[in-house]
Amino acid sequence: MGSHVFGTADPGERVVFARWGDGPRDVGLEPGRSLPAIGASAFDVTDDGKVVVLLDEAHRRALRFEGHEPAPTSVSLAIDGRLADLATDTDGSMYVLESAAAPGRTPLVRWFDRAGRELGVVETAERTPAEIRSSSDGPVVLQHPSHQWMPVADGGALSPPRAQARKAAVGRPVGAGRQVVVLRRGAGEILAAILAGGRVQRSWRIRSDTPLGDVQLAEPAGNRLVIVSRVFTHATDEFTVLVLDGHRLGRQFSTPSDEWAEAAPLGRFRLVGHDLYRLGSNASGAFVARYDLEMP
Amino acid sequence: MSGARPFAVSLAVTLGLALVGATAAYHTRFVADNCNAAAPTPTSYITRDGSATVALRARFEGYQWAGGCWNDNDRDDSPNDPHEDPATGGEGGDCSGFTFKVWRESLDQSDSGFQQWGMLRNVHGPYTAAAFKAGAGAPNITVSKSALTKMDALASDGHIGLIYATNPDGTDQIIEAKGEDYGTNIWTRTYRGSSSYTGVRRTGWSA
Repeated sequence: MGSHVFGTADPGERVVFARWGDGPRDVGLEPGRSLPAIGASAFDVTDDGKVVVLLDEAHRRALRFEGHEPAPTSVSLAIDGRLADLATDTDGSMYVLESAAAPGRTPLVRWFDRAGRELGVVETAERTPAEIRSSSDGPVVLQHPSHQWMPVADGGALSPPRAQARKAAVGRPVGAGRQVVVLRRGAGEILAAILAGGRVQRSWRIRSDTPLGDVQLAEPAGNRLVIVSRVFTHATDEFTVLVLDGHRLGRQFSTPSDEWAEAAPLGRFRLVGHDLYRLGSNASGAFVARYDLEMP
Repeated sequence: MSGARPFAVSLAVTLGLALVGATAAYHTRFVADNCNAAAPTPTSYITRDGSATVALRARFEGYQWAGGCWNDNDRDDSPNDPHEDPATGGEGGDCSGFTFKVWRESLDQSDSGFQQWGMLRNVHGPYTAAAFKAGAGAPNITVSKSALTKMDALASDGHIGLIYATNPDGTDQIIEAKGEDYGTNIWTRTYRGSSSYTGVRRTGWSA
């Protein structure tokens, strides 16, 4: 990748916006004068790309933005809030991964139906979960300190911690029996591989002269692999989007980080088909922007 | 007149009890009942692993804005303090007070030596998160975020957290006093890549 050129980031097409506030269309900021701005901590997009769900954890609700409807539908959720992450399922149900836990316990995954009725609650297997994602076999949570992906539901029911740990895997399941494994090595290198049947199908080594930070997303889009990673210096940061085609870098562009308010650590990007969605915020509110990865 | 005086006394007592009740609910007695002002013990060295052990004792112990006193019973003994008051006398440190004690720093900003503060010593130290971010104080320097290692810090103008472990995906496990609703714990964070945050190191580690 060479050295990253900052200042050419693509803001994308804004598809959702909600102002900071307490009104029915607004998203809230968590209370506390000593607390940095935290709000609109996560989002997800349905498989057909028609519904964007924004988690308004400060108001303990989800805002569903459907198609061209002018206003979102508000769905109350019995959550604790606090930088929670969100994954939606094909039937409209929602899984919320809490970040804070009761003393001596692990954080909770709460499962709600489309209307916000609670369907179940389960603790994570490990002390520090990082993100929750939908998969064809149900939701999976990346957990620390093992840094393994664990299914938190199986056969239509939530899985207790021991069952989660039994099915832990290094790679994130991405359908058709495949997993994606990502390793950021040193300050400027990412190793990525698609595994199937315990074997490496394809692998990539990405080097950057500009330091790389968190890898926000690594997911197949057809025959390609999309990786979103932060690039940063002391003074600035952006996200770089890499579309890996075969064994080559097919396309690369950057997006702003737009982090006025803190969100869930790995809750900022979602990939649906060939559309990449990004959660951002500024002093006015939170938004979701879309990028068509088919466009040059 | 004879009946008015008892009424006035009764009213005063009622109002007084109401105020006491409100005060008791608003200001916890954790600091008053448990914490002390003992002098720190100078120590000749500290390791990063030793510092992590000190930090883990504060885990689950709550958060108190401008605070710096906690026990080790794995629960917040003053839960649900109001968010907007730094003087509620509750358990826990805030982000910079927690860092100050875990890094065993001195109240004298020109002193880079190690001072072991007891958990129940109520001390916040002289640094805000922004001061740590600027590398203020003799023990503290700013360093490249790519070079940060265990128990170094990431500081913004309003927050500071310590690196407990680094994850394979470029995120970090940060141990931090996050806020009243969060307490003190270990979370996955992406502070390292954010331009709001600067790398800060306490100098003088033995290992």
